[in-house]
Amino acid sequence: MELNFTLNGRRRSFDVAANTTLLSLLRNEAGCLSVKHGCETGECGACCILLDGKVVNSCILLAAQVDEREVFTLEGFPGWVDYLKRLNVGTDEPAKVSAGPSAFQNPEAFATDQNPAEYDRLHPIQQAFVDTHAIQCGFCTPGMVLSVLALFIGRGLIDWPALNPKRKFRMAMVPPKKKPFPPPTLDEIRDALAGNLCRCTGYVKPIEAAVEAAKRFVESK
Amino acid sequence: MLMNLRKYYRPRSLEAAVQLLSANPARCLVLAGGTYLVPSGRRDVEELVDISALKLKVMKQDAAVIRIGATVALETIIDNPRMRKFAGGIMRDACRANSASRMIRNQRTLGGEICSPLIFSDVAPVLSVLDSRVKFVNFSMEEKELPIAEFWVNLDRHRSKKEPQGYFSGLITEVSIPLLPKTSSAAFERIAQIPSQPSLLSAAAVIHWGEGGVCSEARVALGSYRGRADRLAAVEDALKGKALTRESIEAACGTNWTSLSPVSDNRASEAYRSAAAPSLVRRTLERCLKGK
Ligand code: FES
Ligand code: FES
Repeated sequence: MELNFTLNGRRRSFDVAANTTLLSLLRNEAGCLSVKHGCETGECGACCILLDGKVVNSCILLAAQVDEREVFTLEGFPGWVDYLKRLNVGTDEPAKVSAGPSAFQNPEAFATDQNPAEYDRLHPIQQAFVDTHAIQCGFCTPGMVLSVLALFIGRGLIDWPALNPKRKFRMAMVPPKKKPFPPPTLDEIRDALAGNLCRCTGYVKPIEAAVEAAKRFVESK
Repeated sequence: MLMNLRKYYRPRSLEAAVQLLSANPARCLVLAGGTYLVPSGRRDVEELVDISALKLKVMKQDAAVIRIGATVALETIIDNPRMRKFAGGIMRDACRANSASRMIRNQRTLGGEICSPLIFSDVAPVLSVLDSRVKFVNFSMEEKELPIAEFWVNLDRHRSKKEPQGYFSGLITEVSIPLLPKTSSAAFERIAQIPSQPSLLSAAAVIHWGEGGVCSEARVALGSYRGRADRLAAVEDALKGKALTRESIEAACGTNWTSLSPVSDNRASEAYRSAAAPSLVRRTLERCLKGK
């Protein structure tokens, strides 16, 4: 069956079998490797994505369920969008750059005609995870970052954009103009991260990272 | 993974959905959030009818009832300011207890939870004490409404007979919850190994207060005990017409429980549930008393 949806601000089409899960579509067809394959039963949150601005587990969603909806993965943060475009992931055209083990180890892939300053910058939530040492093996980190992102969207700290890809491109970086709500409480952060299992960090550091990221967003006002 | 799934439909009208479901009732199921169905790996499912486009995501309140559409997500109920206040927030607490994961709660729907093949749900005892009713259409497109307990009896009867759908021949459209009078209080309590774990036992209660602080009506239910929701008629009768105090609650919880023997499963043994249930019910009623 044919499927059309917005993936990280870009309209994409896929031909999938009815029983394909969104997780396998994202990883195997769309090149979104930040979406991790963990338990496949909705327990661990490693496969977390944003669907219409809300966190869901992609392993227990059928790909068909996102038809005509909006999916956001970590690759949608600035830098990655263009990097993937240049890799021509999901198309038959040859890649314009080679896929390194990590886009961040492949800086020339980031040399674009758009503002280069955007590309060597991590998203503030990602940066907070780095700064607070909230990453060990990193398997759970993409899911955690998206859970924090969804919490901030829900609290009005970050704007969930309209379908305009230009706006979406900036969405992840820029707090909304309107006065933000007070930062999330510790309990809200714990609740937001409760669906993301981490076997390494013991959760204290990721929670610290979310607190730090919220503080930076509020202070950036 | 649903190995034998061949067809997926997302109809835009109730008529189209019912038509699809009735065309191949043995192999075609309703897909709401999919949190139980998709990872279940069921091999008998060949077709799915996704009901997310049926405009059943509405929550509204008229003069006397709150109406919640079948595909309203549990997280939407938690975030709804009205539900936060309604009945001391017990509906919200039960939805939160349903899963620690916000991702699951964003996907899981109220209709799906009511029809879920898992009979243990924290939402069930709460819906039971709130005297909820379930509206559904059958395969002849007749709209019906049943009290939730009766709906579950029908559901289980169909399931045990292995009738079409494996569940029942119809489609839930709405759950309605009557508003509580101002002179009432409600509480929800649960026991779990840690807060993020599924409940070993849960209890919900609604008390209506009459003249002079006397309990004019009591509704008490246990979840994860024998089935979805066990209304405790003996406790309810023992409380009715009494002034509610710690002592009268203690006495009501000491009524005969032997007719209600709980199940044993991988979460808790029969002995554990039997021992814990009276204390949990007492705690729930005492919370009602505090919220008076
Ligand atoms: S892989 Fe989806 S929740 Fe674990
Ligand atoms: S850092 Fe290893 S699982 Fe979280």
